[in-house]
This record gives sequence, C-alpha cells and structure tokens, in this order.
Amino acid sequence: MTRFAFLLIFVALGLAAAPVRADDQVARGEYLFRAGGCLGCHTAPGGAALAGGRALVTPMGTFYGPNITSDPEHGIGRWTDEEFVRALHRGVGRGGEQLYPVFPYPSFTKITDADAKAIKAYIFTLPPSSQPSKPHDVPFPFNIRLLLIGWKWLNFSPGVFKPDEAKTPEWNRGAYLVEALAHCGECHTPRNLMGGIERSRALSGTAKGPDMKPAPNITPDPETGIGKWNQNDLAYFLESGIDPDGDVTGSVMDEVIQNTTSKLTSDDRRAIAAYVLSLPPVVHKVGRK
Amino acid sequence: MKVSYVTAALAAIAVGGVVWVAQAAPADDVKARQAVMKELGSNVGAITKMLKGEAPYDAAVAQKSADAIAAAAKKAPDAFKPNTGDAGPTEAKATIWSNWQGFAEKAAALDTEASKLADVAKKGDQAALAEQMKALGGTCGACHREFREKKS
Repeated sequence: MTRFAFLLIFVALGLAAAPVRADDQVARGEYLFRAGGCLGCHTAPGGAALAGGRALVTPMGTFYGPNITSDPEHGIGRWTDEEFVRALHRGVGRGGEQLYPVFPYPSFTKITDADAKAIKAYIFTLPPSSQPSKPHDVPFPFNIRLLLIGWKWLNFSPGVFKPDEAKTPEWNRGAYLVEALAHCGECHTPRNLMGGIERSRALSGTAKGPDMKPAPNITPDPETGIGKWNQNDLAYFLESGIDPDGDVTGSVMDEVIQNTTSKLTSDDRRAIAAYVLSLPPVVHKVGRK
Repeated sequence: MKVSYVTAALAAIAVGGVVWVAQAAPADDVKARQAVMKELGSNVGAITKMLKGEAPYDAAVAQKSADAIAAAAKKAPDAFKPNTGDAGPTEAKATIWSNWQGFAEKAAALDTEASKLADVAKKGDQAALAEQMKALGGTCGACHREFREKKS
C-alpha cells in the first residue's frame, strides 16, 4: 500500500523516468511554466512576452526581470539545459555569476530536473526578442554580486523537493506546487533583515511584499490568517479571485490568479488548497498602512 | 452701514453652512459608496457559496442575488462620480478621479457582465452561471487592481 502511494506520488510529480516525446515535453513545460508564474516578472506591462523589463521594487533596490526569450544575444538562447537547471537550482548564471534571490531560486531549487527542462523546452518555442535586459537599479553594497555567496550560505538551502510518504498524493502535489513552482512563500513569507525567507513563519504574510505592498497571512490561523476558509473556498479563490466574503482581490494576487492559478487544473488548485490549509497556523497580523 | 454688517454676518453664516455641508457630505458619500460595494460583495458571496457547493443550489436565490448585483452595478459610476470625496477612511484611490475615463470604462464592463449574470441566472443553468460569475469577477478584479488600495 505504501509502495502504491509512493508510486502515485512519483507519477503525480512527473518524476517517472520513462522517456518523453518532444511535443509532450513542450506541452508539459507550458503547464509548468504557468504554474511557475515566469511570465509576470519577466514581462514588462504591454511588452513582448518574457522580453524582460518589469520592475520589482524591494528594500534592496529596484530589480528588472531580464529577457529570458530564446534570443541568443539578449535572451537565454545559448543556455544549455544544464545551465538552465543550474540557474533554477543554484542561483548561478550562465557565466557563473551569482544571481540575486529576487529570482526565486530558493523555491525553484525544489523543481525536479525533468520539470525544469520541460519549462526551458517550452520557453524555446516562444518568439525570441532582441530587447536588451535592463540593468538592476541596486545601490551599494547590494550591487556586489560576490556578496551573494555569503547570503546563500546563510539563507539558502538547495535541494529538489522530496515527497513525504506519510502524506497523501494530493498533499504532496500541493506541497510541490506551493513550495517549488508557484513559489508562494516568496511573497507571503516574512523575510529577515538580509532578505532571507523566515521558514519558521512560512506563509504568515509580510507588510513588505511585492512592490513594498502587504502580502496577507495565508496560514490557517482563524483570526490573522485564512483559518475560516475551507478547501473549496481557497480552490475557488485561486480560480476566480473571489473570496468567501464575495470580495474580489485586486492586488498582485489578481495577476497571479490570471497568469497562474486560474490556468491550473482544478485538481491542482485543490491540492494547493489542501496543502496550504494543512500548514501550522501562525498568529501574525499583517498591518496595512 | 449697519445693514452691511448684518449682510456680512449672514454671509459668514451662509459660508460657514456651506463649508459645514461640504465637510459633512464626503463622509456620507464614502458611506454610500461602501454600501454599494457591500451590496455587490454580499450577493456575489451568496451565489459563489452555492457554486462552491457550500450551500445547496437554489435558482430563486441565484436569481435574486444576480438581480441585486445588476442593480448595484448600475449605481457604481454615480456613487464614485467627481466631488463625492475621498475624505475619511476610504480605499478608493485618487486615480479614480484623475483618470475618470479609465474608471468609467471599468464600471461599464461591470455593468455589462452584471446584466449578463442576471440573464444567465434566469435560465437556471448552474454551469453557465459559474462561467458568468468568473467573467464578472474579472471585471471586479481589474478595477480593484487599478483603483483600490486595500487597507484592512
């Protein structure tokens, strides 16, 4: 029985070692690409898809998502599969340069190799753009990339997601989506003074979320989090943006719902909801200004 | 001369009165706006509760709620029209009035989808209602994104 559950988990995660046909890989990559929410940060408002230029304001400065189209000059056209996987897993660029964790490799490190390669295969089917990447606007000392080696040592634990065989396949699928691909914690988990994720308070919200706006506590605490929501409520919210009170989100989450969660299967939304609502509730009131 | 003092005094009272009204009005306007939004929210909540399976589907409730949404949607542009004030605690962003054209387009989209929702509710087709509710939610989100600053 345990074996069977384990097998299910493996299949659910797409870890099956069977060789994949190229078009299957691209179709799977497209789905995973959506789940990963790549489009948002790598596309300027009204700009060409993945050509970069979207500003992300953080306490460390303003970062601009780079061009990740398959253009060989300005995009990632020359990147090998291994280099792409290394960027996601280790936060290292093609030339060995340290990448800023505004690129959420602390989450993407958990993506399986096969899934990462599928995402790249899909990206390479999209039209290339020769738009140069905009340099980040980051003041001293954050502009010294070598310092990121120290940052990683203190704040980053690399490693692919490992399913918990004591849990259901649904829970594991949800965990993989939340922790690895959808990188929910990058916005919803508080950060320490160095900008590192505070894992002990996972998903409990922060006043300084994306673009310095608050991201709510989404742990199941009934007062300060979403403890009054059930799996149906959360899955429906991820599909429609409509919360149990009939209010409709208009924050950055609206974009996440449009680009990512509304595009997932309803099983995947339910898995995300099951996982999130199973987490330890954290009492943390996120104030708005 | 005495008359002009009286006139001046009366004028002062009149101006004071106008100022008082001008100060009082925005708070009421804000409350009226919030009432419209609450009306939308509670009725959207009533329908989505059934769509999620949290409450048994009742065509009459769906119809009543959809009609209420369509009626409230019609009130939205007026509730936000210029000089209704952005005083007091409000989540309405000032860009509503600096970009009125943009806001009016969003409000018109809400009106269109809300009317469709009322039509779909009449037919009693739950799947169609679910689809239309998502279309309606899209117009809510698009407007909130641009013109609302959530504060609580």
